[in-house]
Amino acid sequence: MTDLLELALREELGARASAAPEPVGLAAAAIGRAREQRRRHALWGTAATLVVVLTLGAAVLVVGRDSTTTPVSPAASASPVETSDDQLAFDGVLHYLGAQVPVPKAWLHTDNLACHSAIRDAAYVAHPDWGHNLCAPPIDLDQSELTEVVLTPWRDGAGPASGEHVLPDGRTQLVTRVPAADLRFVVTSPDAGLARRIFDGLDVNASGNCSDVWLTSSRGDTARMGKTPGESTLTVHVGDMVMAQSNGPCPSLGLSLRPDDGALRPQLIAPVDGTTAGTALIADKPGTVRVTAMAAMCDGLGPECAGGVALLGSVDVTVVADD
Amino acid sequence: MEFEEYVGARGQALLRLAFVLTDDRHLAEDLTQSALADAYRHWRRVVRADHPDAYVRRILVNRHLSWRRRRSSTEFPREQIEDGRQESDPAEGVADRDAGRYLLDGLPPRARAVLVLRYYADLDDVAIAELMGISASGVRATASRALATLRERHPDLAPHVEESR
Repeated sequence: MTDLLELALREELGARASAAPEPVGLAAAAIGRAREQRRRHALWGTAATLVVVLTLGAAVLVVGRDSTTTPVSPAASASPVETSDDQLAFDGVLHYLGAQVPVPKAWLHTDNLACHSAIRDAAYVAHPDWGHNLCAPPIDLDQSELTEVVLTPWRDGAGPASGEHVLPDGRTQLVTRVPAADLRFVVTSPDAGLARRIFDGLDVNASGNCSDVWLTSSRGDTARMGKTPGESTLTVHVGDMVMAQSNGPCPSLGLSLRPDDGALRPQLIAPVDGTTAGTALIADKPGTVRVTAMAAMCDGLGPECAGGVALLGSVDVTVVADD
Repeated sequence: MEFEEYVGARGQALLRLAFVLTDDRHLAEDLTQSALADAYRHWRRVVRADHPDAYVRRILVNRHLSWRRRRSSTEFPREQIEDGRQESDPAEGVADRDAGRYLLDGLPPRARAVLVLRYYADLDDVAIAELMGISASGVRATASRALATLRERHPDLAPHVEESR
């Protein structure tokens, strides 16, 4: 039997195709784009190597968590939770700026990501300032079966709206704003029940866990880490000490210095009972250095979280000669 | 075969396929260039394939679906609104098409891709399944649901006809 709908489809698609633009310089454009991609991949590889080097350097500056002064939130110390139906163990925690979400530990592994996109079930921090355009995700990836848990700084209009949605690929997506930490929390999964369980696990302890990091000079000047590079500045004098502090335990808090030209010299200091944990820098010579604070996305900097650091903010520190 | 030769021979067909998938001239050009750039980067592998054209088409379709997914994570989904559309009057379907709207408008990207590959590229379900990386039964189920949706929206086209494939 002839199906009018099928006939109409063939006719319409044929007609639409004939209205397609003419291919002009297609091969040259594709070759140019491929060369540009290669160049960007090389650039991204260099940048990634630099980040790893800086992260390892920052790890040297790690100051242990000060468990004597700040209570650890229940979520951060959560024991493994077995889900009722699929036996997924929520034995890891995704942290960012005070928001904590229990998730399966394996989801925190950075191997689950390629170019800041999930290629396997993943829980991660997506920072809008990371170079999303510097690389391309795998071309044949089907994300419709993937579960993703994402914490990202809130930017108006820059992400899915709050609420529960069904995506075109059939996955359920739950989105909310975390006002206390100014984050967007997004859970996407083909299993709506699983998505809701993860979503309900969100805990916020905005008064701790790296929600606020600042630099204080030995002269008493203070600058809070700004979310946008260049937003926050601090002027210190040669010979001053600069302390990095947070309002609670930051998992593996570290600092990167750019340029690392000796204007600021990192110095390890021991945590003292009754004080918050800190990291010190010594102002050695005039110059301007961007000090960026980072912390691990999950507990510790073990192999399961290698390179999995979240940017907390930065301060541009200008060192001036002592007058 | 050289890359430039291939694009000279097949570029227009790829651009047309991209256009019926995206329904947007600029996106179609972008998608085609992007797929061909990927093909160029792996050209030795492409020409070694049994069917180089199928290989490139696969890149193009999957890249299109991947783009849609990426956009979907930053856009409010329209599907609920579109699925809620009611057309009790068959004349509305005709009026829609007369007004420049198209049969496939509002279908989810995967369903649209399946119908495009079936009714425009004239591929059978096995070839579509291979190209999209899903099962043939998945292709049939997707096509069946999509056709059922279209029949609901356009009862004037198939008031009493069952799917023949």
